[in-house]
Order: sequence, then C-alpha cells, then structure tokens
Amino acid sequence: MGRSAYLKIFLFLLPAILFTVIFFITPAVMTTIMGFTNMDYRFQWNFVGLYNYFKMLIDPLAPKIILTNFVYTFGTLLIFNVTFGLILAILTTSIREKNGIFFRTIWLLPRFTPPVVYGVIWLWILSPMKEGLLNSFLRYDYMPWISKFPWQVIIITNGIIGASMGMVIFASAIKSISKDYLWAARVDGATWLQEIGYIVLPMIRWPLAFITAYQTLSLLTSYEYILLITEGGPYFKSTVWSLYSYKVAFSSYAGTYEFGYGAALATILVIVGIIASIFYWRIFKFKEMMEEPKIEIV
Amino acid sequence: MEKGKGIWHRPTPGTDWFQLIFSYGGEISDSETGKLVVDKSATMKVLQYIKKLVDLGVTPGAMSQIAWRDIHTAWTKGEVGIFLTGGSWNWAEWQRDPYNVSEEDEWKNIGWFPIPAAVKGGKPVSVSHPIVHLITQVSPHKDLAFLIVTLASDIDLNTKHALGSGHLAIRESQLAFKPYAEAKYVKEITKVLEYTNFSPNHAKAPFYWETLFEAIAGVETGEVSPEDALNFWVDRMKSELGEQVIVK
Repeated sequence: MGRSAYLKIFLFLLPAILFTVIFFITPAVMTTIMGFTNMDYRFQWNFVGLYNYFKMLIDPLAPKIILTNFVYTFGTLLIFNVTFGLILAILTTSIREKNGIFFRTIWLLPRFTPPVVYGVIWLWILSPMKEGLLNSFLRYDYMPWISKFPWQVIIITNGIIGASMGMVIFASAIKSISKDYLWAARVDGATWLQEIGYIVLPMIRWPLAFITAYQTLSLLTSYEYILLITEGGPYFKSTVWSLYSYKVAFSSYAGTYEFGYGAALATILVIVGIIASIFYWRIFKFKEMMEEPKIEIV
Repeated sequence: MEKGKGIWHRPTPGTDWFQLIFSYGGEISDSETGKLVVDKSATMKVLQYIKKLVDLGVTPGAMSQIAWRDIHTAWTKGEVGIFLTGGSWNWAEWQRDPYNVSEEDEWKNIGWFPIPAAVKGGKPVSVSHPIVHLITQVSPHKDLAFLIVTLASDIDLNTKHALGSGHLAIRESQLAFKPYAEAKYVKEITKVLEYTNFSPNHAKAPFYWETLFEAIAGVETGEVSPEDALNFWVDRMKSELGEQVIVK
C-alpha cells in the first residue's frame, strides 16, 4: 500500500479514533491518575501512592459488593439480556412481520422511557404500602418488595430494559438467515423447535457472542436504575461496584466528595472490563469473526 | 391506627437523626476540639429503639422505601399517629399542593413536641442546623460579599421567609420584630428552640449522618442486628475520619 492509501485509511478511522481518545482513553487515564490522589471537595491533586488501593483491600463493604455485582451482572445477562432477548426475537420473528414489529416496539418502550420516569414507575409498583400497584393487585396491606427481594428487583428492572437490545440484534440476525435453509428443513420434516436448535441458533452465534460480551461490560458499569429504585439497599444488599464508586465520589449531599477513592474504585472497573474483553475475545474467537471469508459466494 | 402506622419518620438521612442520639444522652461532637464523636452506647440505644418500633408493629420495616410524598399524604390524611422527624417547615408545606391542608385544620388536628428525653433525668431535644456564611480571603469584592451576607441575615427578609415557609428566626432581634412576634405559628413553634441542639458544622458531618442512617435503615429492614450495624458503622467512621473522630 502506498502512502496515500494509508492516509485514506487513517482519515476514515479518524472520527472513531478521536471519539475513543476523547471519551474513553482520556477519562480512563485521568480516573487512573486521580485514583492515586486523596482529592476531595477541595479539588487538590495530593498524591498518596497506593493508599486508596490499600483502603479498598480492607474496605468491609468490598466483599459484599463484589458478590452483589457478580449476581447482578450475570443474573441480568443470562436471564434477560441474552435468554429473554433471544426468546423475544425468536417469537416475534415466528409470527407475521407486522405483528412482530408491534411486539418488538412494545418491548422497546422501557428503553425509550427516561430513566427517572422508569424508576418512579417501579417505585410505585413496588411501594411497600397498600397503595403500591403490586400490593393493591395482590390485596396485600403491606409487603416490602425491595427489602425482601433486592437482587431480584435489580435484575428484573434492569433486565426488562436490557432484553430489548438483544431482541433487536437477534431478530435482525434471524431475519437475515436465508429462507432456503428453513424451507429445506421443513421439507425434511423438522419441527419448529428443531429449526431453532439446528439452524437458527448456530447461524446467529456471532450476534449471541457479541451481545454476551457487550452486555457484560455494559452491566458491569451500569447503576442508574439501581440508584433510582433501591438506592443500593437495604443495607448495601443491592449496591454494585459502580454505584459504590458513584456514591463515594458524588452523592454525599452537602459535600464530602471523595473523588480520589471513587476514582480508584472506578479504575478497578476499567481493569476488570479490559480483562473481561480479552477473555471474551479469546473464548468466543472474535478474531475469526473479523477475518475475511475464505470463499466468497456471489 | 393501622398496624405499622404508629410512628413514621423521614425515609432519608439527615441531621434530624442526631436528635435521637441527644435524647439518649449522647453527643455527636466534642466542644473543645471540634472533632466528631461516635457515642457507641447512645447510638446502640437508638438502634435498639428503632428495632423495637418495628418489632412492636409501630413503624414499618420498609419505612426508608416509602416516598416522601406518600409519607406526607398518609400523614395529612390522618392515617399516621406520630411523625417523628418533622420540621417546623412541614407546617407550610402541608398547606400547599398536593396536600392542601388549611391552617385551620392544622391547628385543629396537628400538634408538636420536642423529642422526649429517653433517659432518666434527661432533657427533651430538637435540632437546628445554623449555616455559617464564609467570605474567602481571595475574594476581589469582600465588601460586596459582606453586603450580601448582611442582607441574607436581615430580619425583615428573614421574617418574610419564616412566615412563608414555616422556618424559625435566625437572630434574637427577629423575635421582637413585630410581624414575627405577631404571627401565631412561628411564635408558638419558636418555643421549641429552648430545647434545641446544633448539628456540627464539620466537613465530614454529612458522612456521619449518611452512614448513621444506613445503620438505622439496615436495622429497620431487619437486614442487620443493632450490634452488627453499630460495629460496622464505628469501623467505617474510624476508617473514613481517622483522627477526626472520637469513639466513646
């Protein structure tokens, strides 16, 4: 390739490179550096070495939060973002196209709803008093849903939104499968379940792998709905690492903002995210997905 | 009263919680050094009191999950017996949307009292949080800043604010100021000031009341015992404040 070819490639990649540098690399580097300071509401860069990381090691909340994070991330991912998303995609592509679009649109509504509105709706549904939607429906005078089932609450409330992304990606992947395979299978007497198991699933393995990897990373850092609905409670039971980092850094109203410790906590998430990316890259063999096909069918 | 509607309180952290520590004879700051104080014995009694309220069915275990608006609605409808952490400003708040209680009905149905002493020989308590105005040394307009602070502390403007919002006087001279002295509600509620204690103006005080409330809500939901909540809280205070906290 000549110099002009490289220049062209560079120019094509430039917008993506700029975005990555401005919105990922710069904040990640700044967060990492800030994690070595004891910066608080006075915004002073006082470097304290590994102090925040030692503090993290003896932080009594850390083991509890790691467990919750694990349950939340993989619970939401496996039950909703992948499995439920896949079920919705299969069902809505198995019916008439017009009806399928209608149901997919309904499932997209929670994603279009502003997070605060979505959170308030859930607070009303789960209110412990008899006026709460669930309690009035079940005729309970009092039932503290959030205290009793904190993990289930954060998994369901996040999963209902999370499932729609998998649904859209899987549905379009299913629709792109050549109908010839399905017709051929039907001629051979395959049942609907056999069509799904032997044709559809193997043919959408890349989107499945992509959604699993992408949504793991996304769930690892998401906390807004947890903050709005359970506030991490009761007694830290639904506090995930990213929420803890946010609370340490920002939420102390009247302001003892611990940006240094909060940044160190966030840095751990960046490291875990990078390790998870490498793990998925290897286990799902994403390199093969990126390779040019060995034969081209025209 | 229905079960769980005997005594309600704010569902969030706040300086109000210091009142319970005071009522059990505890303290939250050291007057000599200005350091914050963790009074283990008094806090333990507060946590046990909270547990008792839930065990007796007086307060719902999920009190911290009830929205502010639902609390005020239930209260203004007369469904709740005592609102433990009310503020003087609630009087004005309940007169407005969406509660719309007339002042006449408030006088007829609502009374108040300072938090009673919880130990023999103790005194009833309430809490105030006076704000300190600071003018920075590097300000290029110190005179102007001083003028603004003077206006913010002016009895005329503060009386307007007090009468409209149910807040108390901020200066002794304001008590004798005619519009304030003649207003029935503020005149009566000012009597509670006799029992008041101050919330400390310490940079880490918000950490204190936020983590204290985590312990209270944890015990209330039954997620943790008073003993474990106290020990955990003391550890957090020590690791966060280091030498800035005295543990008794």
